Amino acid sequence: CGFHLRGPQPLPFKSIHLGVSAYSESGANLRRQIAANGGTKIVDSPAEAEVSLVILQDVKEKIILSLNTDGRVREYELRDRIVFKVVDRGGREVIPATEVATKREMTFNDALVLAKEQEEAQYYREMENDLIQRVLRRMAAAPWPLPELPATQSAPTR
Amino acid sequence: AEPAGYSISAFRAALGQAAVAVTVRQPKPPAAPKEHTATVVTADKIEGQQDVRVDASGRVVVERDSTRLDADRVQYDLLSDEAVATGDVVLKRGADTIRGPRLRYRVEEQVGEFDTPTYEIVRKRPARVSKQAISAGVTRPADVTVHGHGQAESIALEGENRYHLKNATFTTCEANDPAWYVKAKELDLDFDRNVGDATHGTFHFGGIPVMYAPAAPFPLSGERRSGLLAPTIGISNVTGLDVTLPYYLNLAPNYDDTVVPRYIARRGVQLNNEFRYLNPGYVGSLRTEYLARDEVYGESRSAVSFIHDQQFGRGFTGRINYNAVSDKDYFTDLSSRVTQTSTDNLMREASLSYNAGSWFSGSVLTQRIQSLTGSPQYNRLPVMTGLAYLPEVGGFSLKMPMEAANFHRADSDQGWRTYVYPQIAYNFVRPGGYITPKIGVHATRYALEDRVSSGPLDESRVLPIGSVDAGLFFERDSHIGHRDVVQTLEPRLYYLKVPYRNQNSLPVFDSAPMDFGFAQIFSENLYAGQDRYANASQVTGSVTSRLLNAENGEELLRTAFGVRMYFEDQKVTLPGETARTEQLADLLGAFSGRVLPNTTLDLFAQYNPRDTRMERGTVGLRYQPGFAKVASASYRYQRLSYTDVDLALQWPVVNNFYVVGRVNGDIRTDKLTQAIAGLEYNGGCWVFRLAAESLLNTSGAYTNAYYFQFEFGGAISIGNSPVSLLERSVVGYGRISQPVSDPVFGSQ
Repeated sequence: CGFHLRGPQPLPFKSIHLGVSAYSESGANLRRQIAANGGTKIVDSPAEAEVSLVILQDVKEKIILSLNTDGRVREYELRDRIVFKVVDRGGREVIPATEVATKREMTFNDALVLAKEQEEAQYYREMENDLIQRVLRRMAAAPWPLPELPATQSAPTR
Repeated sequence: AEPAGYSISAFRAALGQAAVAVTVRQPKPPAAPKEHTATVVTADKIEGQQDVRVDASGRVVVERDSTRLDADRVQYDLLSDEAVATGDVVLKRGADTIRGPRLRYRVEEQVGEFDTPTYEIVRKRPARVSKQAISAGVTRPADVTVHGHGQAESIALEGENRYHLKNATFTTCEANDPAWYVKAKELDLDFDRNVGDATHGTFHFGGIPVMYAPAAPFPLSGERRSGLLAPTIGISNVTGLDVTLPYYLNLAPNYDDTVVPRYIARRGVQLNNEFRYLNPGYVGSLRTEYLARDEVYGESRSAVSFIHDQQFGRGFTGRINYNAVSDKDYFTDLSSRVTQTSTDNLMREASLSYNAGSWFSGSVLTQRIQSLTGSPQYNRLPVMTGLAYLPEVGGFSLKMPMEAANFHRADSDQGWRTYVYPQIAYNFVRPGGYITPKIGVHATRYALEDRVSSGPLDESRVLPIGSVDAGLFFERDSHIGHRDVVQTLEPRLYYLKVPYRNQNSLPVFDSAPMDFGFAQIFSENLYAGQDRYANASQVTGSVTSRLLNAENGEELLRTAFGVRMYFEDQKVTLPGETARTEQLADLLGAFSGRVLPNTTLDLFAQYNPRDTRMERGTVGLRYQPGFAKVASASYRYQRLSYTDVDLALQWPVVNNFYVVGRVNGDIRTDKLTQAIAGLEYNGGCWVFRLAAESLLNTSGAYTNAYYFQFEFGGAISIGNSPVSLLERSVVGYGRISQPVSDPVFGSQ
């Protein structure tokens, strides 16, 4: 059927600074995967890195999705939206501001506020992991090195 | 005539840094010396006295910086720098244009006076997009260009960005016969401070004066400014006629206040206030609402909401969130917003958190909950949490969440619960897959002060928990049409072992069964909270397949299946809950992606193979071919409780009329929970909106609210805007006009 086990797919950069905390679950996963694919050194400071991943926005929202027949919230839609970009040391955009977003539906019950609060946190952790994986795939496909165009930005289309 | 290319260089000194160059167009002029601040005069014929005056006639052009003056004749006194232009005078400053028969103008100062001109002012304003529209992936509309134009008896030019108009009209309509315009005795437009002032203004609509104001300050470009904001007028069945007259106080750049007297025909006069502040280290708002005597309810009613966020530095942050209402029917009686009418619990909490991006993070929270249902929640006075996490220690990761909480509620089990859960995992990660074995010990201790359920005051529970998580990544190259794609196949297996401990005598503070879905099947417990930990010996398997755009890695489609096998029966339950006995859990399936151009489809199914029936299912379809053009339908089924249908639409129908609406309800009980019907008309430079909403509230009755609104050129709003309601309810809703400048309560 044409499927084959994925071989090493290193990022096109020699070194990268990740604007995601190493002490978050998603940040730790991201670092592990970059390390496993090899070829790219993760450095602590943007000045030392060939490129930097910058998280411009990380917006978590909770929207009422439906009400039950008592007029109370029955389901929430949880949304997570990350806007990121990848820039080189000179500030040129390797990947321009790009949005990845996901959503989940969570049932709700006003009588179980504390339990639902913890379940919500679990949903958001899972969503964040999902989005960071998508950011990684975007980075793996980044055009690098950038063509040498003096004074203009060569921004690939989204 | 002077010779071509005559340059009055002597006037450089007289005009400071400026230079004046005069060029006669006949014969063909040489390139004029174009210095940055040079004044250049070009004309068919130029006469004058060197160093004193220039008298140019015939297609005269005077240029300086971004200003250009065209006229039949210009008499330019170089000593006073004053030019008098007559004939067909056109002055262009940046994107602004003023035309008229006569202009007196001091070129360098950009000060002057125009007689009986017509004018056009163009300013750019960033388009406002709702958060929902962004989340829904709606393309952001381009920045808005506001074209304001009109005529006046005179226009005084007061510097680069200020105009003073006498007996002027103003409209943003493009037509010569505008649908609306403002006529004012005096009109001040200050684009440096972004404020406007009109005195003795009348608002004309369809040629008829409909409003008069002796003095009307208004913000340009959405800037804040103290003064009356546009009143809102609404109607609902709980309030009757509902009129607010907000007064905005721009106290300082970093704080402001809005006083909102509100007349509620059925109930009385309410006084609302919102104070906001914004500083580098802290930000917050205080909202209060007070109704001295509710004529239906018979007593005074009030609400308060205070939110404060503080950055202490070094990773420490603080937050206060305090909400209270005077009585449980407050929202259902006085509000028609679903976020309020559906509210049962109001939080009152204060917290101090530490997260400096290091191996330890933690928080202290004290939380009370005002319950509006009469069934109170547990308060946590306080709860302290900590997380120690070392993600990478030679391939291992070490993690230890901990929490100590004091649960309080009258006539309930009360007291402290403490737990700590040290865990160690080994991360074996390769490009083609990973395997993560993990073990941990979850230890909990209860030290109760009060007990109403049966059992001892002091209890403890220690659980070793082990799991192995493993996955593989397969790929293949493919294409859809001409697009190169990568298809992935990602099988994952997860084994979990939790031994049985009898937990029947443990109190229940914060535990409840979780949803059953892809986010939960890989979790260690089927309960949220810490009071119950289900015994487990189970394998979960899933397969995910994604379609990625090969060019940029974007995820286009995703399909997933999940299955779980139990090797032992469930023995741990919550009070009143029936234990599971089956060996095969419900099967899960999900799909999401763009299936056709402009069309997204989301599917979820929880299928019960033992009884061959669907337990839970969702179908969501959205078609969005353009801005303000969206239709969506979703169907959510839960076998034991509901069958929910949700339809939403915004669609242009005919001649700039748009229909907009939403219907949401339970078809099993035939009960509507929310219905919105609206009509919008875009008259080019004005918009009319009409909307009705029916919303089921927590008192079991419907709140019916009616909205109508005229919006003129993004500058003036009359009525009660349904826009935030529509943005909230219709995913993908596009605002067909430009936003009204509203510095407060902008996002409801």
